[in-house]
Amino acid sequence: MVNSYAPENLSEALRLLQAGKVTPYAGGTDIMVHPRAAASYLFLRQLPELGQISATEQFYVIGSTVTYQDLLTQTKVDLPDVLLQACRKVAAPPIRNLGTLGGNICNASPAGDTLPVLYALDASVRLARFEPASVNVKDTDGSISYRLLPLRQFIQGVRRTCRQPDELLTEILIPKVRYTLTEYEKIAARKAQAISKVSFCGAAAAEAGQLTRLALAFGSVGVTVVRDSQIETAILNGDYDIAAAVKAYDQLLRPITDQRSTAGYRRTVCLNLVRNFLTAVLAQTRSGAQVTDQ
Amino acid sequence: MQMMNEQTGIPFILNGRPVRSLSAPGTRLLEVLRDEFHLTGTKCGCKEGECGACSVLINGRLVTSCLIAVGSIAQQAVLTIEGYRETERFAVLDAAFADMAAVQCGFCTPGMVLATEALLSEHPHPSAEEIRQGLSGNLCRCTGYQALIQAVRTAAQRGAGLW
Amino acid sequence: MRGEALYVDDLLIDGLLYGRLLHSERPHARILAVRLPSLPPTVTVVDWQDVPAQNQIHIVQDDMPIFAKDEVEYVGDVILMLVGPDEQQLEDLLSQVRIDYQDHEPVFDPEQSQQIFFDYHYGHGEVEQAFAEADHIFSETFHTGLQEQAYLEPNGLIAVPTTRKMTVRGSMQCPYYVKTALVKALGKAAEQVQVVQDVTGGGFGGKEDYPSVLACQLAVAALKTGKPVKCVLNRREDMATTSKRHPSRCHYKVAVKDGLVTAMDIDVLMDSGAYTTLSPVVLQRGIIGAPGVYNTANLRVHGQARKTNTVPNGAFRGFGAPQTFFAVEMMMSHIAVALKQEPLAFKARQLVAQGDMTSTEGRYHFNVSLPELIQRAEELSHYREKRQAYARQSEARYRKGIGLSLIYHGCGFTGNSERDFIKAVVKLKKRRDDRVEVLASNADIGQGIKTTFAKIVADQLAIPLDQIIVNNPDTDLVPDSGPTVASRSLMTVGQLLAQAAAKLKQVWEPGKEQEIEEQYQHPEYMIPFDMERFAGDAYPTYSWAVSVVELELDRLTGTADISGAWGIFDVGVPIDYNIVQGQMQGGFLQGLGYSCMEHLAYSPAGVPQQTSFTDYIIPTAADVPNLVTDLINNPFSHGPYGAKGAGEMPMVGVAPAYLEALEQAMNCGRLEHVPFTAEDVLDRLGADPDRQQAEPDTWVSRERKAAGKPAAQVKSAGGGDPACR
Repeated sequence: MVNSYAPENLSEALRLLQAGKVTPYAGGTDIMVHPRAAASYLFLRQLPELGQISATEQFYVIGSTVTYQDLLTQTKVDLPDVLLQACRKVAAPPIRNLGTLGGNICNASPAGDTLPVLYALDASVRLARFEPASVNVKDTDGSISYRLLPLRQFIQGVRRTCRQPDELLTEILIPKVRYTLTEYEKIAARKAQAISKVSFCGAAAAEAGQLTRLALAFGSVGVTVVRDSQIETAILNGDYDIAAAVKAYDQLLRPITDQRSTAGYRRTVCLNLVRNFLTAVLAQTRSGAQVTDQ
Repeated sequence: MQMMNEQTGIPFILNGRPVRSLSAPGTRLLEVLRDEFHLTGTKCGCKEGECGACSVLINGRLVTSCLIAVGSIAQQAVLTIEGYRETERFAVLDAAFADMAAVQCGFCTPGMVLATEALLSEHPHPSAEEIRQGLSGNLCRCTGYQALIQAVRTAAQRGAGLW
Repeated sequence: MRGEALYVDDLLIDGLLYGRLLHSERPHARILAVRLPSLPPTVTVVDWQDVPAQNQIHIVQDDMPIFAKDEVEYVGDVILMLVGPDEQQLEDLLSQVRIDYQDHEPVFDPEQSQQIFFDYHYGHGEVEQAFAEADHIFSETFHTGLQEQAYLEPNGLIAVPTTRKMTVRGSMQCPYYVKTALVKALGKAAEQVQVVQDVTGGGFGGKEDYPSVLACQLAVAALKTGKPVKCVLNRREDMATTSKRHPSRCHYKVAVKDGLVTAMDIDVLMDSGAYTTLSPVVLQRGIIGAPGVYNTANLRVHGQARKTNTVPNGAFRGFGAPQTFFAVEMMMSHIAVALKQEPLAFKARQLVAQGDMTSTEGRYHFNVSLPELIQRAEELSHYREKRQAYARQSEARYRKGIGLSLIYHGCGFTGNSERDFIKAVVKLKKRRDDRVEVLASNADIGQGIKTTFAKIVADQLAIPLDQIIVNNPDTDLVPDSGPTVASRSLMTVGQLLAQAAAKLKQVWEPGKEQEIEEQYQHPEYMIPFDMERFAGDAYPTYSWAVSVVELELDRLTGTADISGAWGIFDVGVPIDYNIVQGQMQGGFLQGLGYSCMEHLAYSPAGVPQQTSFTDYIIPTAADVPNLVTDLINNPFSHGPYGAKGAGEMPMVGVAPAYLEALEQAMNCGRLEHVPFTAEDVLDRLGADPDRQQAEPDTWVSRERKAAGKPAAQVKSAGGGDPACR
């Protein structure tokens, strides 16, 4: 007989994680597709520390066990609309009520619906672990250590992250940045309850006729979400026009053919969407320039 | 901290009554409901969270019971069709579904009824788009959804004030 | 509604054991050895050696084995069953079974298959002469894909052995089909086999032949263990191994003279899969409908079903008709475009009418309501106006299209089957309390036949509906009124019940037990059908439909948003309006799935790739358009209250309407297969939108140029234009 646990606070959860072979369980929507009878689960949804949504001066801070539905219905924090758009496209209500943002990240599927948005918005993740107390110090919250790292660094491959076995993802931090144009597209075989064939997120900011920020992220066309700073910089600096940018992404993307779609389709859609987005960005930037000129 | 296994059991509220499941905590709630509590109104259509036939309400929220480890719902309130059919709201849905011929083979129906309850709780007067979205996690192969959408609309009108 | 209906998986039976199936992992191989893990004493192996009589399942022919003996013919063929008290334990043990195979070369492409299961020819007139005299000759090839029924309740049955008999119960459409198969497999007398239908969670044809397979496997297991044995397939197993809609290739060559079709030369190939199962009858219906709803004075039709090493294909709503009606409707539309005519106008000029000859030299004995249906479709959808407007769109990201199709569905069994094979019998049993029980073997699988039967009998007897009892069929209690297929239950069996009720009314004695039996009579007006020549009345009558689909295409992603859909139907007189509407809407949506999203394909190793609801995509509530269905009244004199067949028809005409709309939106030439997915759209539009120059006239100009030459040499290869690739 194996035990599962429902800890009451983060410290307890981290100690259990350090002590033995428990599998962290957030929303369960991925784990339970192939459940293992003998698994020992560490249930996380009841932990108050992981279920909060807040904002600081610099960041939106989303607890790792916040569900998609929580994100869509909360009114406390004015979250980026493009993130909410992605949440609305996740599966359907029964799954949105279970699935969590932290789960989407830790599951590290290249088809994760929110990931292109989080990549584009330069999200970071905070990880916690329990530091065994020295003999003289009693257990306190102070014995939890945290590290913060960019999401792009955290996710390493298909279902691979750099979370250590004794670490928990506690929060997702999204920098507060003003974009003048954002777009999220999920392309799937039907309008609800579908796994994406391709997803795309673009975010851009223009000021006085100048493109000042640009982020382009693609889902389901590589082992992780694809985002490339060099190409983005080349576009920002004016080294690449749209055709050159599209060509650069054509060389970068490595889609595959599987039971849901074909490599050729995924590539074509990505290139079409990025071309379309850059065209809109350029038009917006130009019109900004005209406004400034007047 | 709560440790759980087949001996400690997992306490939760099932259709308003406190119960204790003696299944392994990693067992699907779907199987606990059907095999342990013999509540067969919750149907198994895929075990992958895709069809919605096993939908139940947990704390009022619509979820697919196949994707829930019973250990994760300790102390929470589960409502299945067997509990819901005793309510006044159900009576309104029952009549509306019958009048609109929204039930054909019936296999998706318990899940569809609970999806409707969740939908009307959130949107007592749903738009067509809200209805489509609200039912979008529950597959039906018989009706083409038109009669279901009509039934939800009818129930919302007739049950004004109930939700 | 209350969750109280008990489906087979909900039944509790004392001493119940579970059966789990071991499926072949190879598409075509000899079984050299079966290596079992060490089994606990509670687990029993059941295989071909345990079959008491014939190790073949009776469907139409007897070629599919209950358990494979030496050879496996597709990935999924059943080799053995493990039986025991714990399902999970059985799954674990199954994963440890090792089979040594010697592989043979598999065949996956029916075009390459040397094994022709069925080969039919028919026709009439002077085909060669018509082609010689033609102004234009058009030829094109069409393909349709697999389609999975995707009923929400998977297939499942329980076999219960007693000393006197074997009872099999569960999810099924045709209790007497199952019974006949069991009698042959077990070598028992008919009265020693009982089959009971339980509440069934959808069928659509998918529970027509497959339950006979599972029933034989379970009955053998129950016989061996002496215990009741249950097997409910899991979703992936059901999708991967049970019957689907036949993929097809249809080649059409059509002669046109003076703006009208004068001849059709049609070649139909259906992929039967590994065994014959229902392929002959599917193929028959398909080829009979191949010329569509058009007068074709000169006709030659050739149809084949060939073997491949894939899942045996079987029945699915429409039963061969969706394949050929898709092809003929696309063909007619393409010819119209080539002749610079509006497709509907071109088609409308050559529709069949009452009194005309059918494709098989029978007669359309009754009113052909197509003109009325077209008019109603036009009123509701504004098809013509939109069709013209959308022809003048710019090449923007989003483009609209609208398409329309015309089809019939032959009601009931093909040919003389009702008279020669089915010989339906129904009974009405009046109890002492004056309640009347309907005794018929037709199963309610969600289509509402119990309600409809009750309404007919109550109305005839002029007694309240709640005085009528209709239970799920049990072969010990009900006579064989035939299977629940071919849109026949209401029209054929319902009519027998109406007649029985009329007789009962005449002899009605309150407070007395009475029984009335009624037997099928072949309608006298029918021209006898010659099965060798395919000549005569293939069907007693026809239901008619017009389908319209309107969509908006996103040319960047290839996805199409269905913005409108209309189905206008003549099913005679609807007995229960809501039930019929439900059938029409459900069938229409299955047709939309077939058109664009229900993609199912085999890997190079012969393994089906889309075997879950995650990957095999059926529409959700969010995908449904604002679907409008409408019925017109066209009473059928020989149907109960004027009713004709209904259930299958709404599926049949959707794909060509969808594809015609997509063609208009894409503005990139002819399309020729379904499902036409977003991948196909982008493939056809070309990778670079800047390079896309629509050339809708390519095919036309080629025909035009050639028109001056001797007509017989004019040819256009099917399969799209290079200019548009």
